[in-house]
Amino acid sequence: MHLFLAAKLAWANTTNNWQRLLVRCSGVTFAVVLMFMQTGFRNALLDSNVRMMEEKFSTDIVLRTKSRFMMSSGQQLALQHVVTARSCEGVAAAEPIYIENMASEYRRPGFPSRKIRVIAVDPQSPSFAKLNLAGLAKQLSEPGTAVVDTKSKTMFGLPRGAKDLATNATGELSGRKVRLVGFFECGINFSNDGTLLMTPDNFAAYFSYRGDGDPLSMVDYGIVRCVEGADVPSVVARLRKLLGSNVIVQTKQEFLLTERNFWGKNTPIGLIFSVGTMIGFVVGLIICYQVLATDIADHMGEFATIKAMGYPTSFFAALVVTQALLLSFVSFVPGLLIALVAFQGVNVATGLVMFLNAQRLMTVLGLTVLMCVTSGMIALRKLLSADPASLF
Amino acid sequence: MNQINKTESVIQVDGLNHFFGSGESKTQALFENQLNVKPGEIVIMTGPSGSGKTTLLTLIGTLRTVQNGSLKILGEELNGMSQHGLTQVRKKIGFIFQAHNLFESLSAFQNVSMATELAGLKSSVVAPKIETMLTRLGLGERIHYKPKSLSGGQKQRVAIARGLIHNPRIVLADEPTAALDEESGREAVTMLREMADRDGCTVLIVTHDNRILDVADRIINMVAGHIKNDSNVKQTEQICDFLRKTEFFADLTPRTLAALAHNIEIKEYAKDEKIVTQGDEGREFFMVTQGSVMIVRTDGGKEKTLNQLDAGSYFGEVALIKDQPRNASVIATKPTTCYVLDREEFRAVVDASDSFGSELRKALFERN
Repeated sequence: MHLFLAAKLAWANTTNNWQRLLVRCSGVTFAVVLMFMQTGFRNALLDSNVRMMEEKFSTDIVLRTKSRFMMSSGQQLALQHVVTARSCEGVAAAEPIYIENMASEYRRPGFPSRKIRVIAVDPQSPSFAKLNLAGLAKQLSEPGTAVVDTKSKTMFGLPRGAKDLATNATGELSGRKVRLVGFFECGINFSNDGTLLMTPDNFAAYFSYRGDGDPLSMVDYGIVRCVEGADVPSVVARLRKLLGSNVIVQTKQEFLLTERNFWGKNTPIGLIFSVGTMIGFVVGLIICYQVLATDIADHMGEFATIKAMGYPTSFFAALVVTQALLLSFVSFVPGLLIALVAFQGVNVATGLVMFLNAQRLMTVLGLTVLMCVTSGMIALRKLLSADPASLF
Repeated sequence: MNQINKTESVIQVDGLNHFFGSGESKTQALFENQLNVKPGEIVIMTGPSGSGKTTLLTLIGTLRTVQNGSLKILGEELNGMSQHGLTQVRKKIGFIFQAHNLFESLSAFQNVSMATELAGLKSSVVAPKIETMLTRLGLGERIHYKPKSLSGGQKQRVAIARGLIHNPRIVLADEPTAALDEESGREAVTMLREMADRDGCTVLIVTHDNRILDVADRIINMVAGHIKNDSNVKQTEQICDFLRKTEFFADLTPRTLAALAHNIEIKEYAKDEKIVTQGDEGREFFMVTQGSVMIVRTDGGKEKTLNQLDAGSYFGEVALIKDQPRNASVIATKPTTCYVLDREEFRAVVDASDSFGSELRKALFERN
């Protein structure tokens, strides 16, 4: 009933002294930045592991062997399953992906030898069109060639840019010479610092021990594109029936979710960042409580007076909620800006992509609002429970 | 607002006790307080600090929880009342606190409108009223100023306006004039008087400011948690007026008269009721203020009416002055009201009246 008046009073009290407001908000802003950074790191961890599958490959369905529990573990799937999938109704294409990140090491003369991820796909296939390899297909078809992920870390000594490529094109991959012929983009993650990409034929030459005599007979993933207009879930169902229980068939979204959940829930790293976010929340809660409790204490005489006049509990609740909302919004905006700058800094420093989407932004905003309102309610308790006479 | 039953108590305190602290540090702040305040009465509470005035005031204002005893405001028992009920009662009360407690973020006008908003009054109706009241309190130029641009006295006047603007049934004020100069203090008190007379608003003021004592209908003196004295100013005045016309007391100073008035008991008698019995020891002195009595002497078995006394006359003095038994009986012939003074008080006054001159000198000396 008096909500509007409460909001008006909250606004007046909050904005009466901008200087004091900004000082008080700085603490909450700190908590917002903390939460953004922690969720940012967590998302960078989760995003970076699936980025290649999510953004660089055109696929509707992902095939893998039952025992493969994440992208960087090595369990392989028989190529035969991928070939079989091509015969399924509704499937337009099924392509193998080869990934080696255990036995592959890159060494540039003068640099230490380091583990590097090597991916092999058909550069001409439409499934990999987003990798922009069409112009490099001819060069890649030559033996002993590969292209370099531009996001790879500098410690490999890999060529950076076309100019560098002219003088720094050769290195050693798993004990054999490799000639680098160009660039592509895929991005690093927590388990891979850099990536080379080559054709399956070249891949077979470098990693001949794979498979059972035929290096290309065992693939890491199969990616399936459906024909246009096909119902993906029913194709998935048919593939499951066709390929049997040893092959896991998932839509792209299911696959991404499984992969994220593995990192987010099954590994301590995911948990650490979740705990970090919670710590940010708790720190914010305490700061908010301090700010709002101080504010209420500063106005205790006035509040006690209007309580004595007959203003009901709901009025004070509305007042403090409004004030908490104002505090959270005023603190959130600079917090967001600082976080965006920090994300950019982290990206430049580590190569990790700290990506912010609407949902993540709303999550942190929601946490901020929750934190301010909760602490406001805690701060309000004394005013609500005490006799007005004891508040003057 | 105007349908006020003049006889019904607005504030009814009965056997009220209050304690602070708990366990061993528990101390009693109020002891068996009795108080009845009627509509339109202005009551001033005085007493040394720590005597419980403010405690009683805040209890009446529903600002403290009633612990023990009965406290009725506008007929509603506060002891055990729900939070919602208390909120409803609070809306009928106007508070003026010693500390002004204005919102720094709101202008004088907006601070006052906090009271009218709660009452749900339309702002178009209320705005001119607020302006008028603030102007009357000498804030006409500063209606839209924020408290930080107002002096202490001006802030207090805004707080007074906030306490009165919604025409409360009861006004409770704790040292309302402490921060005010003579003129604005007087204006504030005049406004209270007007509200009491016009709307039957009941006003309870805790104050040490003796400049405003004259506004009171009653003055309550509190000492150590007890209501020591509850004197009705108007009644005391009436008694003094009456006493002044009586030859015994005519030369007493107003101060002695007031003290005497305070000791007078008002007694009412029905028609044919015997007020004094012949042969009894004389213990009291009577003044007839209303009705009439007849004096009857029984002599040798015969009853003889000696005299008929009407309002304004007195009797019973002979037995007191001469220390004799009553020489006649007195019987009311109509419903009669008498002021009654007991023997010791009467003698003390008679002694004092002889030293009128020295009384006067004493009063003059004290005035300096």
